[in-house]
Parts: sequence; structure tokens; C-alpha cells
Amino acid sequence: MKTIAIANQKGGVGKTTVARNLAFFAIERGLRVLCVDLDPQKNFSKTLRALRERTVGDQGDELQSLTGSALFDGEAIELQPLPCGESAALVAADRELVDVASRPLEDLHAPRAALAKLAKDFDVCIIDTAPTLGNPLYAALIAADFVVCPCTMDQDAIDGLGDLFEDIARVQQLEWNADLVTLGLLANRVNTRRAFDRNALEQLRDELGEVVMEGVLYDRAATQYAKDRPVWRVQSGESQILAAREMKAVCNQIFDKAAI
Amino acid sequence: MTATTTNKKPGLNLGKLSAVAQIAVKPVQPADAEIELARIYSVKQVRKTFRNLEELAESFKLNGIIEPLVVHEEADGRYRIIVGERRYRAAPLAGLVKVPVIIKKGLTELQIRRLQVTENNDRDDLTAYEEAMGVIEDVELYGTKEAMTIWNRGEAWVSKRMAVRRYADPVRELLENDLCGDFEVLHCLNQIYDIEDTHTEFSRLSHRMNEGLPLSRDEARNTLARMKAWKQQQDDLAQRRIELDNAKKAGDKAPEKTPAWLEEQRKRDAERAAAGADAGDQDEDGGQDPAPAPAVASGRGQQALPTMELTPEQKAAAEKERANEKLLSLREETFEWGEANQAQFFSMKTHMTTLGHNMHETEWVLWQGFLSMTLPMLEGIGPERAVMYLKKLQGELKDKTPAQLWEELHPDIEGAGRNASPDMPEGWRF
Ligand SMILES: Nc1ncnc2c1ncn2[C@@H]1O[C@H](COP(=O)(O)OP(=O)(O)OP(=O)(O)O)[C@@H](O)[C@H]1O
Ligand SMILES: [Mg+2]
Repeated sequence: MKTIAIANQKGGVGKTTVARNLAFFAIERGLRVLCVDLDPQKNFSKTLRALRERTVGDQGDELQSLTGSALFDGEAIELQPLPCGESAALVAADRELVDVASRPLEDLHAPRAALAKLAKDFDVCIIDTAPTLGNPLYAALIAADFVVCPCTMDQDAIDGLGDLFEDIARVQQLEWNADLVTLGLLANRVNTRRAFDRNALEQLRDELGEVVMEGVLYDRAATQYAKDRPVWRVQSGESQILAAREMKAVCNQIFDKAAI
Repeated sequence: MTATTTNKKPGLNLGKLSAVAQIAVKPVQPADAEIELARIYSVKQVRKTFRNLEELAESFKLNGIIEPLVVHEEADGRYRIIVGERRYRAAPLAGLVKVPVIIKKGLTELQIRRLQVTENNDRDDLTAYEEAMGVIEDVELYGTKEAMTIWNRGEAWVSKRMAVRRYADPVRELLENDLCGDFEVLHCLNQIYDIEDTHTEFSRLSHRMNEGLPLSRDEARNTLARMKAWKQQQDDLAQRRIELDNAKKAGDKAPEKTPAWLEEQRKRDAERAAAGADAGDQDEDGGQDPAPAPAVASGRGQQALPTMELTPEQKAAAEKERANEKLLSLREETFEWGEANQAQFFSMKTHMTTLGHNMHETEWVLWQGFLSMTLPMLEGIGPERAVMYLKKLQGELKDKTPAQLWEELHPDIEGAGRNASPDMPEGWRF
């Protein structure tokens, strides 16, 4: 099982959007996908529950299943992820995830151990993270093999990237997870009609070179509205085809780089 | 990072970010040594093209070689390149005589190959064609299992690349010239090429790709599905003509009797229509060849006739069975046409984009196409009922997209494709 975390402490930059499309992309490739939602906002969980509703017939909220906060039990986890049909399963977010921020550092290795127990049942694991630095982010980065950082062309978001990459480098350099591979910065919601966006993207490419992923996601209505299915499965207007093409190209690049 | 960049485009201060990001992205492996280029040699494994060597050489002039090459120390004291052939070729262009290397020793041929593929994969260094050629070579040298390990991929992934060997030449050229690197698309294209003797559709698509317009998987699949459906229709027509001819030949003496051969043919007919419904890849030759039918018809038809003494009940039952099968296959065809219509509209939209049609022209073509498809159908349903249907549909479209409605109507059944002719839900009323 290869584990990809989607991270950026800035809110609303497209973490969940990328996570859900990547999950569907994996499903459509016939891979067994474990979707882990570590954000107590539960957006990623909602997507998977909707998929379960379509395939199994209910949202699965009556069932006892493995939750995000329970991953901190490490090897001692007892429950199983919630099956969501079509070879996907969900470790759903729960409110208790809020407490991760105050856990001691050594606890942050537990989710990795928990996921290792599930590894034989899945090909890919996708972790959606909460918009925060520090402990919750560390836990996700320790558990992951790869990290992708979506970022909008927004001054605040770009200013925050330094801190984000510092946290990633810390996880690698302090050998909490020395093998963590950064797949790169994913420019999202780029609006080519705005000079700021064009300029920002160009500068990021100039300065960061290969750190910026080749594929770019533009600001598209279809991407915004595709919440319970991948953007290439919605039919809304002409931007859909472009949105779908861009998203699939990005998913492809991520999987290729992760050799999935 | 340079002052000029910051001056030219004010606003973002990315200096610090750049430094820390480089650390996060590449924990650079330290080089073991610098070695003279003259002591390094390369054994070509995969047919490779080396693009933009000058550009790379320019960057070497500025920064030197940041990432060391990986080499293998051979018995004669020379070093064979495992990874970094491109850098090896660019280095002399930058005037370098030594390059930084990481040295490996005592590896087997297979271990070297694995390392090479892993590194190239990590770096995205190969074109799709090079990748396919590499996989083919590895399967031939080491077998499929080992090739799967080398490339760290599953059997399906490997076999898709192996299939390149069976591609028609023009399809392989698309791959070779880097016009299309998606094996799903290529697989579709190869089938599209095979379906038509004239290869018209294929030529159109390949022309388009030569113009630099990409072909999406969906579009390739839709086109293929549409062509298969069309082919199926042609075959069905031919089949029906044969049936009619034979019915005539069988004489006017026993018109209501259904000869066994005809019965059988109809069954096959229905089966084939059902098999075509999931537009799978397996039916490549299924719909291809109507030729055997006449042989069966004339051969067995004559023997079967004298032995047929059906009771009226048997006759009625057979009649009913046949009608049932026919209806089912008609419904399945209708479903296929629906999908084909969709593909049709997608293609029209693409062409209009290519042509740069304005809003009114586009609207006209779509509206006129919509009418051409729906009006005959509305007449077929019956004008009054048609109005009722349209009203009901309009209501349903308030809450859901057409795709959602369609999804609900024809759910995708695990492994079996879509249900083309769903049963009436219990208690359903219009
Ligand atoms: N490329 C895009 N084009 C248009 N809308 C987008 C795009 N990417 C994301 N959005 C929209 O932006 C909003 C925020 O995206 P998303 O929820 O994925 O961000 P997030 O990083 O997960 O947020 P949070 O930090 O709150 O978890 C959503 O409404 C989403 O649909
Ligand atoms: Mg989110």
C-alpha cells in the first residue's frame, strides 16, 4: 500500500478536492483504496459516504467502524474501515480528532502503525488533512509515503508555504519519517484572466523549479461542484471537459511519480 | 532567487521558501566521487531520445551537475552508467571533463536493470514509447513476473505495454512520435483502426493529434463504442436480410412455423445484441463476421423442416419466447443508441471548437441535432404521449442532472456493466 497525504495548513486551498478526485481515480483504475479523513470538518468522509449510499444503499453512520482518532491507538486498533463499495473504504473523521493537537509527540507515530496493519488489504491510501500545522500535520506526514501540497494563487497561501515545507523538512530531517517523498506543490484554482495568478505561478515556477508540479488545476465551476463524484463524472457546462482533463492529468502525474 | 526576478515581478518574496522547499523535495544523495567522463561508458537498454541536451548543458555551466550520476564499477575498472545518461551526454557540451557519481559495485544484470527503471520512473525520464520498449525488452529477457518486479507494476500494466507489439503501424507511430502516450487511448485507437477497412475515423483522429490536439480517454472510448454500435447495426441488418431471404426460400407452405435454424439464429442474434451492450473489449471479433450464417442457414434449414410437427401450445410458447427476446434486444439497442448519441454530440462539440464556431452557429448545430434525434422518436412514441413525457422529464431535471437520472436508470452493476433494459420497479406508475 502506498500512502499519499494531501497537506497545506491554509484552509480552502483544495486539499479535499484533490483527495476526492484522487480517490475516485484510484477506484476507476481498479485499485483498492483506503480513504483516511484526518480533518474534523469531515468533508472527505462525506464524499465517501455518498459513494457508499450509491453503491451499498446507506451512509454507514449506523455502523461501528474505524475512525480517524482511533488510528492513534496504533497497532491496537480493533475496528475496520467502513466499506464504501467499488473497492474503497473509509477511515472517517470524527470530532475527537480535535484533540490530536495536544497529544505528546510520540503518539504521532501511532497512525502509521495502524495503517501498516491495514496495508495488505489496500493498494493506495489517501489521507486528507486538516488546515493546520504542528501535531495533526506531523501525524499525517509520518504516516505517509508521499505528500502533495495544493496551493491557490493567493498571497496568504503562498506566504504560508515556507512554514509548510519547513514542517515537511523537519519530519524528514529529524527522521520521524526519513523516507517521506514530497511530490510537489500543486497550483490550484489558477485563474488565467488574473494577472496576479499568472504572475504568481510564473514566479513559483522560476523560484521553485521542479517543486511545482507540471499539472495545474484552473479555477473551474465543474471542479467546484464535483463534491460526491470525480469531476470527470459530472456534466455541467463546457468547462467540465477541460476541468476533467486537467484533474486526470494531475492524478496521473501523482500516481506516476508515486509509481502506483 | 535572483535580484532581477524580484525586480521584474514585485510582490512575492520566495527566497526562503525556495531554499526550504528544495530541502523538502530532494534529500540529495551525496556523490561518492568525481570521475573523468572518459572512464564512463553507456550500454543502451531502451531506445531513447535525448531532448534539450543544450539546455541541460547551459544549466551545468551555471550550477554544475547537482545530482550525481549512478554508475556501476565493472571488472575492467571502467564505470557503466546505470542512471544519468542524459547528464552524461550533456556534460561534454558544457565543457566538463569530470562528473559527480554514486558508485555501485557487484550488482547482477537484473539488479542493475531494476535500479535503472526505479530511478528513471522516479524522475519521469522516459517517454511512453521508451517505457513500452523497455517493458517489452524486459519481458523478453526476464519474463513477465520479473518485469512486473522491475517496473513495480501489475500484470495489466505490463500487458498493456506488451500489446504495443500488436498495434497496427500507424497506431504505433502515434506512440513513437510522442503524439499519444496513453495506452488506454492507444488501445482504443488500435481497435478503431481495425474496425473500418477504410480507416477513415482513425485518419481523422490521427490527423487531429498531429495538429497537437489531444484525445481524451473518454472521447476515444466513446468513438470506439459508437463505431462498434454502428458495426453491430450493419451486421444485424445483413443478418436480417439473410433471415428474410431464407424465410422466402423455406416456402409459403408453412409461414407461421418457425424453423429450428431460424429460432437458433434469432437466439444468437439476441445474445449478440446483449453481448454488444456492454461494449466490452472481448467482442472484437464477435460482430465482425456475418459470413458463417448462410452456411448454417442453407445446410441445416433443409433437414430441419420435415421433422417439425409442433403442437399449437408449443407454437404459441415459441412465438412468445421469440417476441420476448426480440423486445429485449430492441431495448438493449435503444440503450446503445443513447450512448452513441451522446458520443455523437461530444464529437460535434469538439469539431466546432476546432472550427472556432461562434455561439449562434454552435447553438444551431446542437439544437438542430437535438431535434433531428428527438422528433422522429417523439413521433414514434405518439405525439400526445410525447408531450407528457417531455413535461415529466422537465420536472425531473429540476433536481437532477441528465447524467444522474441516467445513472439511476442504468446502474453500473459490479463486473457486469450497465443494466441496459431495467425491469419495471415494483409499483411503478407514470
Ligand atoms: N480548481 C478549482 N476550481 C474551482 N473551485 C475549486 C477548485 N479547487 C477547489 N475549489 C473549491 O474551493 C473550495 C475549497 O476547496 P477544498 O474543500 O478542497 O479545500 P480544502 O483545502 O480541503 O479546505 P479545508 O482546509 O477547509 O479542508 C471548495 O468549495 C472547492 O469546491
Ligand atoms: Mg478539506
